[in-house]
Amino acid sequence: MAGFEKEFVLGESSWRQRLARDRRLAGHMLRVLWMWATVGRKLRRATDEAARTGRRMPIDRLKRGRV
Amino acid sequence: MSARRKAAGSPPPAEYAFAFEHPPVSGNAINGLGETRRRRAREVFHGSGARPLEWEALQSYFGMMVPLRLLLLWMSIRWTARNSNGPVAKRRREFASPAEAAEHVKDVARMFGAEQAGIGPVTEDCVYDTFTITLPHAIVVAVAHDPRDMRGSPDRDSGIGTMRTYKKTGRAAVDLARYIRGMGWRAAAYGQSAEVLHIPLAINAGIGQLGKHGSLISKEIGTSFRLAAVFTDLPLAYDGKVDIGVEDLCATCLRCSTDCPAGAIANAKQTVRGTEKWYVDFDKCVPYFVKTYGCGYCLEVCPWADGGRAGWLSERLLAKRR
Repeated sequence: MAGFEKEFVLGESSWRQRLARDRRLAGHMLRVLWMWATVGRKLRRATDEAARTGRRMPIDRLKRGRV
Repeated sequence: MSARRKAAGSPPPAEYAFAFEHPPVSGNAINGLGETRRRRAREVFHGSGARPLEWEALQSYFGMMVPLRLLLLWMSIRWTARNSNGPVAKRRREFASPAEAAEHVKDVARMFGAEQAGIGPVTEDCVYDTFTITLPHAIVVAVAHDPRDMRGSPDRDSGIGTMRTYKKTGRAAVDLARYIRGMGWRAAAYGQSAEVLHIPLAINAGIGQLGKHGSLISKEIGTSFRLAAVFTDLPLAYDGKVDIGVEDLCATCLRCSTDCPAGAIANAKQTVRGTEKWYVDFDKCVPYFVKTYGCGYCLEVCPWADGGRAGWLSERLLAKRR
């Protein structure tokens, strides 16, 4: 989320500030999409492979007991 | 032990548990499980960006694992949410009483797509510790999931269906906030954003009661719905908390705790940040939630799940008390 909500002061923004915010948000979303298509592709493949071969998936290791 | 994360741009080796080189601090500890002192909540997983999260790597992984459709929906929600805040009209519309204003605002919320709307105070337990409360009143809106989307939960389709509901809820909140600002009052929408805790807000606003599965149960729309909130300084009459008989059923019902695939739901209330309440084991629930693109199994098996039946069930339970 990158804290975009925090950049704004209630009711005190000009159209220039809003435009700058929209551009930053659009840039952020394009970066997320690029990451999803590149890094994410490798991760999805690795996870599918683990599921297919019956290997214990990495996320299973995060299951912990109660505090 | 702190959660060390791989640098962005390089995929973590498969032997790391979803990008964590070492397991992060227990989410239950961050949530304050077992703590008897009252304090505000701290962000663990879905963050607002206010501070780095212990479980952020898992959240990033979640974003990388989801189907493209779900990611595009998320992007659409974020784009809508950019108007959560904004300029306030100079001319202020006054109401005869807070009750009149509350009725008007709830009607408008329904017009914007909310299936249920309630009003309550913004209290300390409704926001994270990094949040400063400047707007004292909260309008909480709820939109039910499409039951067809959730039938196969947990799966990709239910994840996409959930995101679609988030989109509707977020849109209703953003439109409502914009409407209130148009009336000359300050208002900020909190849809999927993680700056506020929607469940305590919704309890204060009389939307429903907390169930054993850690989610809200509404008499009107059951368990399968999403929430969003609008904070405002427009004086509004509060709806007050409701008792629809959830405690009576959850005390004996074992459905969600038995069926939870991750075994995360306990059959007894636990002390969390000084309050005795139903609590879901974060460390068991969230990894499974990520693995299944957003599990909502407990909500689907709950006897209250069906909105049509929830009202009938509530009446039966309340009648039994008399």
